[in-house]
Amino acid sequence: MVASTPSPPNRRDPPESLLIRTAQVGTGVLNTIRVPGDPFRDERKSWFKTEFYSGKEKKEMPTIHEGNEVKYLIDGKDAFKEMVAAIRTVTGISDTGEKANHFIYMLNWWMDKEFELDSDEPGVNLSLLLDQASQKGVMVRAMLWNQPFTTQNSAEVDYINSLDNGAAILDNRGNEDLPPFSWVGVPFFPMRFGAQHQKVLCVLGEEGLICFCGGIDFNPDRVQELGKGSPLHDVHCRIRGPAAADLVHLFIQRWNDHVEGQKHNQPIALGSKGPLITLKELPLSAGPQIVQVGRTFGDLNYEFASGGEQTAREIILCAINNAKRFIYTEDQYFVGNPQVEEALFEALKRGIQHLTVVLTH
Amino acid sequence: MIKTLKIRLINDLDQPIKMSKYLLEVDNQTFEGITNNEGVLQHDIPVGAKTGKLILDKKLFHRRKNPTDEIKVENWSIDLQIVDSMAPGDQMAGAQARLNNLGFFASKEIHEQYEEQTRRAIQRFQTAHPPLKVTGNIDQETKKRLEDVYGS
Repeated sequence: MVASTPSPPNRRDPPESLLIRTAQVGTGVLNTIRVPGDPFRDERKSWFKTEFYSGKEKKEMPTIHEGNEVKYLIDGKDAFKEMVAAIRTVTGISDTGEKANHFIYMLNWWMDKEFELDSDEPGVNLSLLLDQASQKGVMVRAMLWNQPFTTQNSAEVDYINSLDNGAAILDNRGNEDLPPFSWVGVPFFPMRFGAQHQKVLCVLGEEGLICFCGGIDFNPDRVQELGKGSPLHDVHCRIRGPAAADLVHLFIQRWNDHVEGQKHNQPIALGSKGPLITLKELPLSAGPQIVQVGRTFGDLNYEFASGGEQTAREIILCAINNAKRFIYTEDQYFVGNPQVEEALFEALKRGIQHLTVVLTH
Repeated sequence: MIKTLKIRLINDLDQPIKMSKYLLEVDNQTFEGITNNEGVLQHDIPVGAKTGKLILDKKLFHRRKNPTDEIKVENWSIDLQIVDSMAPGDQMAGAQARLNNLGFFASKEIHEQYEEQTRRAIQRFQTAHPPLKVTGNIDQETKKRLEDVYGS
């Protein structure tokens, strides 16, 4: 068998079942290679969990993916610049000149389509980018939070629905039980508190799948001075590689679990904008990083998350429990999670050298 | 004419990967074996060999659930670029190669350029090996420690 020519992993690697890495080694001397990943050993000592207990019920953790490139984006300016670049990779045309199934999928708590995303490019906003994509035949889908008693996201949903290849949903899962409370002088009151805060952008374009997740909404207060504390500090990340497929999977699950999304799975002749484009294969390896995508869902009758899902919390707990030198955490709220607080105290008792908690004020 | 290729495998806890099956492909030859108690494998290879591939036993790793079942990571492999003599640890190419192999991801390609990714990798190595001073530069203490940890 002839060994292949070494090359670093990138998105153009041919599909194969092995994760490719390259090591330069010398002859006649000892070389040491660290094998990354998740060597089989005591589960409690592993950075990545494969299962956890919810009460007495054993549940599986999300898949652990090797071979990813994760780029951390601090604050809106860097995040929006990368997101604009990603959205521009959609052409609707394949390398061979045929129509390509490119898509843009978005989950957001807040979306403002009119503000300037990048101060280096005057006039470039989300409405322009999505319109250009739709005109190229690219599927545009968005699921935006329906905040009670506001028109938040309404104009954006209407706009995307007006695009030839666009469809959008106002999602109110968790706030749909709004019975009248007129006898106490309040016309409506949410029965459940909470909102779906996921901020995800998935783009399949000519450079393959590029996904984003984190804390940054399409909101001008992330890049402009619009009041106290703005532009707001937050963190986002760009993921390429197999783990990005989990974010597409998340979008598909939420879309197909919503009655409005299901309507679009009907034939186009019945008024649908067409069912979602799905991935035919996992993205190829794009870097050295190992990624597990955790999520949070309340117990809100999601078909794909019966009883809710707190895998994001499990990943955070796992990281805290495995910390050896320091823990640095920033959080807007940092309340209502006694397990995390307990884990931090345990880490201090264990003897980590630094614990830094940054809170908002 | 032959030369010796000697590789020590460690896991992410810096422990040797002992008694683990492997396949080593160099030129047209395939070597099969088991690492020793120090995690070391050693073979005589042809003098002209420039590339190779090391494949590790899948039993080392958790089976990964894969929702599509289309791509399975069953083994772990690494492509080897074989050189007759590695640059010293205080030269950029030598530092990058050692840091990459130790999992610090200093550079996608080995070269003489000092770039941001390399600086961060040096910082991570220095942080992980106290009492090295965290500077991002290869000083003499860092060079010595890097060569000690790497084995050469």
